[in-house]
This record gives sequence, C-alpha cells and structure tokens, in this order.
Amino acid sequence: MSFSKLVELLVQPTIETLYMVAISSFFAILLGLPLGILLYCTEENSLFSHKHIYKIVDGLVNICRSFPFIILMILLFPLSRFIVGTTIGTTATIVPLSIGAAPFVGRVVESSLKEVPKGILEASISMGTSPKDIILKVLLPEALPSLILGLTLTVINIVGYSAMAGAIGGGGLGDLAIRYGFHRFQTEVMIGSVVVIIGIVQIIQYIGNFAAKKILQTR
Amino acid sequence: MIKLENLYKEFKTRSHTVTALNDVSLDIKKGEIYGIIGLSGAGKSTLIRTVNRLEEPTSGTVTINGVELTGLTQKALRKERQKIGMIFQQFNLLSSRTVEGNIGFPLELSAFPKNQRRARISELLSQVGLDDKRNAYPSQLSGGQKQRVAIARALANTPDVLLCDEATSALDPKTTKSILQLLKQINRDNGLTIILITHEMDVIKEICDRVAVIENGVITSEGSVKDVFHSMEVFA
Repeated sequence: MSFSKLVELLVQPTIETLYMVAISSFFAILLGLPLGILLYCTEENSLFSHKHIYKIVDGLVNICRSFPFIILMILLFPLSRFIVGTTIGTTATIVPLSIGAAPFVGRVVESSLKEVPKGILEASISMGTSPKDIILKVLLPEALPSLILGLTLTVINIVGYSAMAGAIGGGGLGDLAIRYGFHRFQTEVMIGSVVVIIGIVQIIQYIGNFAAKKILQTR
Repeated sequence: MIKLENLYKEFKTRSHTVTALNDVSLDIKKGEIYGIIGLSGAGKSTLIRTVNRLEEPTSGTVTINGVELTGLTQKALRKERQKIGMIFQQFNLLSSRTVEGNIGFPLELSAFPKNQRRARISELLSQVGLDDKRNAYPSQLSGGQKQRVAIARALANTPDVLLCDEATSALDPKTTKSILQLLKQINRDNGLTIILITHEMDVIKEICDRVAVIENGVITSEGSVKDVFHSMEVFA
C-alpha cells in the first residue's frame, strides 16, 4: 500500500477517535467530578463524614473499575441502544466509555482533593465558609494543578479504551487496526494506527503538563 | 466577654478514652490579650479550637458577647465565625489566590459591598505593613509576611475576637517579635480581644495581660502574667 493511500485511510478513523475521546472525556468528567467530591466529603473526618454512604459509593466505584472494559461495553449495550439507538459505531461507544471512565475520574478527583492541606480547610471553616463555598472556592481551585494532571491521565486512558472498543464495532483507529492490520494482515495499517495513537497520547500529555506547570508557576 | 464554662473534650479510640479538656472554665475580658500556655499534648490547641467550635466540646458551653456558640445551628455558627478571626502556625493561606484575593476571601463570604472591597483591602494591607505585596502569591512571601497576610485576612470583617493558634511557633525570634508587636498594636488600635496559645514563655511575657497554664487538660493556675510566672518559679 502506498504511503498516501495509508494516510488517506487513517484520516477518517483518526477523526472518529478524537471525537469519541473528546465527548467521552467530557461526560466522564461530568459524572466523575461530583462522584469524587462525594467520596471526598463523606470520608472520615471530612466535611460531611458519613460512613455508610462512603462505603457504598466506594464499593460501587471499585466494582465498576474491576470490570475489563470490553465486558463493560457488552454489558452496557442495552443502555447504548436506549440512549443513542444503536450499539455499533463511534457515537454508541461514547456511552460505555463515559461510564467506564467516570469511576476512574472519581478516584482521581478524590485523591487530588485529599492533597489540599487540612489546615487550609480548617482556616476556611474558621472564617465561616459554607460547605458549598469550601468546595467551589477553596478545594477545587487549590487542587486545580493536581486535578489537571489526573484528568490528563483519564483522557489518555479513554484513548486506550476507545481503541479497544474498535474490536467490537466501535469505530476509530482501534477498529481500523483490527480490520486491516489483523484480519487482512496489512501490518502497515496496524503500524500506522498505532503511530497515530502514540501521537495523540503524546499531545494530550504535553497539554496537561503544560497547563499544570503554567498554573503552578504563577502561584 | 468570652466565657468558657465547664468544657470537657474526650477523644474516644477503640481501646480507651483520652480526656483532652477536663472541666475548663475561663472568663476573658473585652480588650485583653489572654495567653494559654502548656506543653505539647496538654490540651491548649484543643481548647482554643473549641472557642469557635472547630473542635466540638463533649460538654460545656462557650459564650461570646452573650451569644452561646455551643447552642447554635451550623448556619448560625457560620455567621458568628465571621466575627471571630483566627490565625494558625502554618498560616493556611490559599495558594490559588494573591494576597489581595486571600484578604478579600472573608469579605466575599460576608457579602461586604463589592465597590468598597478594594479600599478595605488597602486599609488592611497598610495596617499590617504590606502595601507593596498586594498582587503577590503566598509562595513569594516569607513566613512573617504570610502571617501578616493571615492577620489581615482574620481582621477583614472587623472581628471582636482574634484566636492565635501557635501563631509565631513557625517563625524565627526576630519575626516573632515583630508579629507580636503587630498583634499588640491591633489590640490597642481596634480594641480587639486576643486569645493566644503558645508553648513559649517569652511570647506570654511579651504581650499578654493574663495567662492560664494548662496541664493534662486541666487549668492549673490562672491570673496576671507576673503572679502566675512568679508562683511557677517558686514551685519549680
């Protein structure tokens, strides 16, 4: 296969992958951020310590994270069909990708918030700050650089998952690699897909590092 | 003005109970600088933290200006806390905000008129001697400067009381002296009542009007600085 043909072949799946990753990351953060805040707040000696709620949410997060992603995807086929009307294609894959990554985001947020020194929390409480303001004006801004690095990790995970989703009809670069590279023995397509994925991961990591560093420098 | 009555605080662990405060009662007058001294683990930190209920006493009452804090709901307590400043050993400034942002934080909470905030912050900055640090971030400041910002932040809503939790323990002797002078000056200028805890006798001698000695959660002696230290030397 000529190089220009290969590039041509790679364009559409690359766009699909970027689309899947962007939308899934958005929804994963949308679901995971409140989850992480809930985990943080209900922990022992925290804002609204509640042993039972913490145990339940903590357990659920662990269970969701234990599923191999491929299995989770198959399990969530009915939900994908319900939300997007199909189980095949990039849009359908967004549902399991978002739900699969949300518990991970929850953990990332929880651990970032835990890094905020307890003293800062105490000072805020002593000033009469409401729990809502403590979360929005103290915890999240203080944890921002760490949150950005953690979320970068999440987005990169989603890139990996999205490639896996290609194996069961998810579209994108993973799908291309399997159909051409694996089933048709066109190794150059496999290599091309992997190179593009490596490129995407590098760029995401670079952006994350850059943003976190920029914030830490001004502080 | 500040009345602590029969305060008890117990910490329960799985195997045993530790009594951090054992029937502590104090009466602190308006406008005085009151010191509480004790060794680490004596309960002084627990004691000052019960004053604004950062630590909930197991029993007993805290009354400030006739308001019984120990009987308030969380919401009402938050309102009262805005009138009780507090500074800490580790300063506890927000790293995400500039000096101006840190001092402005309590003003945001108390809904201080927006158009007067800048002027109020300037006033506070000049009171603590940091006019030129308005746009600096805490990481760019020395320990003494950080504590000055913390003091300005604590004074933002013109509190009646300032609680100092080992406020000079992380500072060198020279900086300690200048921070103590600042506290003394604020006490004089604003008529602010100050409660401070420390393990350093020098701090007490330097600025306190009265002092209480705490040992194993019990106040063992209390009175004017001269009397208390004199009696301690006699027994020592």
